Formats: sequence, structure tokens, C-alpha cells
Amino acid sequence: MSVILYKIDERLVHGQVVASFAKYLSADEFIIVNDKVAYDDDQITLMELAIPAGTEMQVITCAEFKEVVDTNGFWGKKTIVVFRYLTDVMECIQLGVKIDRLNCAGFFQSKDKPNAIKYNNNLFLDDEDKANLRKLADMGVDLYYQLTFVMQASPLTSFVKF
Amino acid sequence: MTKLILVAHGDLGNSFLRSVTMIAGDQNPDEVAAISFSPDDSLDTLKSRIEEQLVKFNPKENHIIVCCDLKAGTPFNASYLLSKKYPLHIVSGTNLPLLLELVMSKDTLTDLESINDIIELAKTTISVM
Repeated sequence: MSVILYKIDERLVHGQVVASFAKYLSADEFIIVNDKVAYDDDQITLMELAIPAGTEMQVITCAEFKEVVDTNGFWGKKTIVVFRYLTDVMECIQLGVKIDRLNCAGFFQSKDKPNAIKYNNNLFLDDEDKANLRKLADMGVDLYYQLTFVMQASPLTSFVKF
Repeated sequence: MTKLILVAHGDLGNSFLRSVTMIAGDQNPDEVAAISFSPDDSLDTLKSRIEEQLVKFNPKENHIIVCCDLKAGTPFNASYLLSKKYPLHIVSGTNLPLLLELVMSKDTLTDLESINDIIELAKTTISVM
């Protein structure tokens, strides 16, 4: 597994991820990391429909992702890793996964985050999100925003201060 | 009775409905409805709007077909998740010829097979010269 993209996306694997990033980066594999989705057969069925023919997919928990990183190292298949929530990223880092860069274009409005502020259509962040982003930035993770591959990547701080 | 919900990326569902009206005449809003999907919607917000319309159409009494654009796109996904809770058929790859057929013969569309026949017919409308 050679990770070519770490992305947060609450919509998981969908058009922008498949038709843009996976295509331009010639991804071989998708790994979706979220403890709940890993056991959600309906969501897994939908993602199986979404991924391009010939690519592989694993939908796994944070703990399982740590195992994959430990056993597979960083070589072989070109992998796109999608975390559903920022809390999944925080948990993986806590478990010891190293993440150098993180594409943050994928926070949407939700009834679970009634106090989120809209920074743009793909950045609805509440105070907890911003506190976690600050932690990641302090650890040296390069946080950036890139909605589609053809769009220039920009530092997340050009959209939101945290 | 068979009722149709049109939901696609952006305002395409509403545009489909306006285009259908140009050819097949005004549609009864109690039988054909469109839902838009804006870039700041999430799966949850879109799903609840589709559900609201589904409930209005009373899926216990009526046969409901949801017409979507992209298979595994968010409008399709939201509809798929709702199909676990309500009886409905989901059509993907909707285009205007297909939609016109569905609208004009909707009361004969009672099962998967009859919808599939219309889809096969609509496929023949895609061509190049």
C-alpha cells in the first residue's frame, strides 16, 4: 500500500473522489476508515457500485487501518485513504499512524453538528473540528483543501482560521 | 397509483420536470415531484428531503419510482438507503426519452419487469449519426 491521497470525506467514496482523484492518480485501491461504516452493509454496497472497475476496496475500522499500515508498509498498490470524519483521523494518529498531508475538502452540514459554521460548500466546521485541526497543524500535518484534482491545492488556513 | 420523484445533481431534477412538461403537458404535483441537490447538501439533508416527499406520496398505498442521474452518486445513494425503509424502485441513468416514457405510461408500471422494459426501450434512443 502506497498512500497517494489521504482525504476526509463525510460523503465517503463518491463522484469527486472516483471521477477526479482516482482517475488522475491512477488509484488501484480505496481504503475507507470509520468504525461504523466498516459494519454498514448498505454503505459498503453503495461504495462497491461507485469504485471504478478493476480497483479494490477495503472498508475498515481505525484499529484495522493501523494493522494494515503496520503489516503492508508503504509500497505496492496505489491507495486512496478516505476517513469519514476528522475524529477517525485523530484516532488513527493516536494509534500511531503517521499522516503527512491531509485533504480536508469534505465536511458537510449535518444534524449532528448544529453549531457548525459554513466556510464554503465543503467546509462546515464546528469548534471541536477546529480544535482538532489545530492539534493536527501543531503536529506538523500539512492540511490542505482540494475539491477536485484539477483544482489547485490551497492551504486550509486560506479558507478558515483555527 | 404510480408516482415519480426526480432527483439528480444540481437542479437537473427540476429541469427534467420542466422539459417533460414541454412535451407531455403539465404534471400533477401529487404524482410527479422534483427535488434539487445543491453543492452544500449532505447525504443526510438530501435524504430527509426525499423522505419528506416519499411520505407525501404515501408509499404504502402507491408505487413509487425514484429517477436519479448517476448510479452511486449522492441522489442515488440517498434513495438507496431510503429503499431499506420504504418500498420503492430506483432508476439510474435517467435521460429525457426514458423519463417521458415513464411519465406517459406510469400507471402500467407496477413491477420491476415493466420498468425494465421501458429502460431497454430508452437505451435504443441513444445514438450517433
